[in-house]
Amino acid sequence: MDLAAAGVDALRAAIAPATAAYALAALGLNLQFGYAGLLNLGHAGFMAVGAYGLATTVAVFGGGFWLGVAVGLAAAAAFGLLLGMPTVRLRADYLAITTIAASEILRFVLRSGWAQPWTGGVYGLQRFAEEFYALNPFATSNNYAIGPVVVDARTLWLMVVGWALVAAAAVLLVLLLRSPWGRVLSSVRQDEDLARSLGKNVFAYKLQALVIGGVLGGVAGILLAVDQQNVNPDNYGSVVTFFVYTIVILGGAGRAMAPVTGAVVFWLVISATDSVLRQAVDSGTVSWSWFGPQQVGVARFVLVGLALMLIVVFRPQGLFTWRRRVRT
Amino acid sequence: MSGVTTAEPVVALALSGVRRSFGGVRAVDVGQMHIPDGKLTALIGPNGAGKTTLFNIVTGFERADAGRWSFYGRDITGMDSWRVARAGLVRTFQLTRVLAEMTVLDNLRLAAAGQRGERLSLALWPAAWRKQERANQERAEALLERFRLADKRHHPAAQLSGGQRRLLEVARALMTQPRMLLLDEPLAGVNPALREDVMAHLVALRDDGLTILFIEHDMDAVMGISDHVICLATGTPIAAGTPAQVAATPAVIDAYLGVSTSAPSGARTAAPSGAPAAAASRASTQVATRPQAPAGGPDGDPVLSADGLVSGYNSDRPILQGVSAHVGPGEIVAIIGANGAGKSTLLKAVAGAIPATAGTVRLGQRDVTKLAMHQRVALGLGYVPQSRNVFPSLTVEENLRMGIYLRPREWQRSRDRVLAMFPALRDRLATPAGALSGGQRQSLALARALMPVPTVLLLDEPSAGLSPVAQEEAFEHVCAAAQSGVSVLIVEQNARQCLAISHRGYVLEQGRVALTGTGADLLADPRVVELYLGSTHQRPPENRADRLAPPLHS
Repeated sequence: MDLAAAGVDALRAAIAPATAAYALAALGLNLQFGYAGLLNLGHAGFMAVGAYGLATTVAVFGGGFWLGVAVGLAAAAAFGLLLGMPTVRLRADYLAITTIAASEILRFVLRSGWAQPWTGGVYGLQRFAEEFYALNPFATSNNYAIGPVVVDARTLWLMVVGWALVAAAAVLLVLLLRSPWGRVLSSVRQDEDLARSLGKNVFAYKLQALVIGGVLGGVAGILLAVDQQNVNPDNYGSVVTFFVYTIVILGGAGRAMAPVTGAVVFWLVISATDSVLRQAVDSGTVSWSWFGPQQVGVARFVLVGLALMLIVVFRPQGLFTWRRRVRT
Repeated sequence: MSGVTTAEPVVALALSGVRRSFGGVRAVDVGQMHIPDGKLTALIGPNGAGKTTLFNIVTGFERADAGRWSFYGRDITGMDSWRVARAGLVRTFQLTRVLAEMTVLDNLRLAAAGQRGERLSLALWPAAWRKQERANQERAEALLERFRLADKRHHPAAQLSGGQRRLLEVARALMTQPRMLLLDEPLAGVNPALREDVMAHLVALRDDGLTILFIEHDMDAVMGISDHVICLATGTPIAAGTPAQVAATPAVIDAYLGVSTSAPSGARTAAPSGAPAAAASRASTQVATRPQAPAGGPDGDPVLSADGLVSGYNSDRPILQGVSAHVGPGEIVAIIGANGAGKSTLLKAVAGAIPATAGTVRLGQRDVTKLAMHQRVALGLGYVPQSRNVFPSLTVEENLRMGIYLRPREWQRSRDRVLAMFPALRDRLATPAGALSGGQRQSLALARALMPVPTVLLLDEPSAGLSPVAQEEAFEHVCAAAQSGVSVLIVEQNARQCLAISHRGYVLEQGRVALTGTGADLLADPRVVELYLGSTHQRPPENRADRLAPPLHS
């Protein structure tokens, strides 16, 4: 078995643009879930809104790429307001139900026949990222080595932009959470009634957290769409939301930088198990009749699910946080 | 109040016609209530009098069914809780609420009003709020000095003791620079040393010009420090005035100890109106209504016994501090005592709803200390909690069926037996329990507990929140249950009526048995009145000495 190859695959996944996108989505969800205590199970919906805002503007209406980005972000913010106004007053479990329903409704609308002129229906939309790739400063004829990982110029360009966005979002969030605004948000999660008794408008803070987190989800959706150069409704199913939750919990909910490490570790592990399992199947090390190449993709998620359960049971504060949050 | 003249005191908080009911129970029904400006006003009243509900309504945490209320002339009826706080009316909670994950200092800094940095648009520009933050911090540090919490300022608030949490709550409320404070039991769970401290702080704040309204059960504190006292009973103010005036009002004593309604009416009117003497003389008339001594006699082996029971909700601060009590066959045993003395906690620990950290609970000869509640029930224990003791969405019949869920074959027989005891339920078998009045709910809860014929029944305040007639009915039902051979351990706020039907009673004070004796003895004992209304309650000086006498342990 070629463990070195598996290691390189894992490393490639860990620094891939998609990982940066998931890190952004997780930063947003961490603000909502980890700091404001909002159990938003519709994060994939925010990502879809961002991605379709861009893709529809460019591929259907012929707008520019940057206009598309602006539309995508505005749409994510609007989705947050629309979803939040009636629901953030609800108890956590009802909020979870309504957000997951909203994101699924959105997905079915996007893939419906009558929306096809604007969303491409089940075929999705393509060709909306040319303008972005045209700005690529790296020579397209070359490949670039980052340690042992070799990537092409387009990937490198998106990688740089993606991780720069992650860094910028993380810095902004840390500053925000250290401000008095962050202090109020933390009090809202710990004891809403107490925050109200001190004159804090709890509703406004929850709504703000939902919208900011949602816009970060929108940025993540745009980044993923640009990476895949394709938007498709089924790329934004609820499983995406649960991946983002796994990342947040892996890193440690309520820690500002944890989603970034969580995203890296999540994709590193997914890719490494995939690579190892695939090699095991190919080389005949594993030769059970029921376990073939088709099962590899599923098996790695089974393993990730198991790992998540173990983390939640044994390290609820996250894998990479050592300081326990004080609880009463 | 538009017609305020210089002679009249300024009214800080005015309520008129405020009403609120839960199900069939009237929680708050205040015609007119005025809280004076710049005074330390105490709101007292027995359990379930609606004190906290009134706080919740005024501060926007609960809605009212009717009525209006205003704060310094400004109508704040139905205003959102956070807007009420911004208007300068700031409340604390009965159970201390601290932001455990934040430091003590941050708990205070959070509370400051009008912070620019709390606006999302400015949060990322520290230049816009740094100066204000520094000023707030100075104010916070000064408050922490004043409340002797300064050395804890960088500790997470979770590390504070119960008393320190109370101090932090008051300091945090002050940080908002309120015009008026509503404190919900500021002394609950505070140890005696800090108690004096908190009281001194309240007086000092009043002297600084702050208006304070506080709910309190510690009558020594209420009588000692407040300028003005309002007593609520079943949601309605029954007395208001200086501490001495209120303490001397017979209606207040009746509210705490229960009206002796079952006494012959001649005896009541003949009783002198001087409070403790009246209490004692009324008490003596009760003996006639006492049930006959149980068949097995008090010397029979106890069906239930607790020995050195230590329990509570937080293992560091147990509520029960070694309580021993027993119930003989066919006996009605009363547990009385002021609010917070540990009465309900004792029942919960005996029932197995909360674990005991030390001591034992025996059902007959069997040690059940380690058993779960449902196992104790299977061994013959019945438990009727204080509230939420029926399934509101189920019909009366379904509720009864739940009582004998495990023995379906006995359903028909048990149903007929219990309905014979509670004929009023027969007409309502198909009514959802949620539509019943408070008294009917209590009947239903009791009936359900009697379905499987328990050997011992634990009743937590079966008369709480009921009208006088319904209260009397509830006690009659308890007597009927005892006559059917079930032993009863009953916790009651209505001490007089409860002792009148009880063979024996225990008086709890701060988690310990302070007094015990037969129902008649306790009824006549002036110390019982004192435990409820505090030692400043007016009494002849020559009787002071018996306060120092050792309690009558059995």
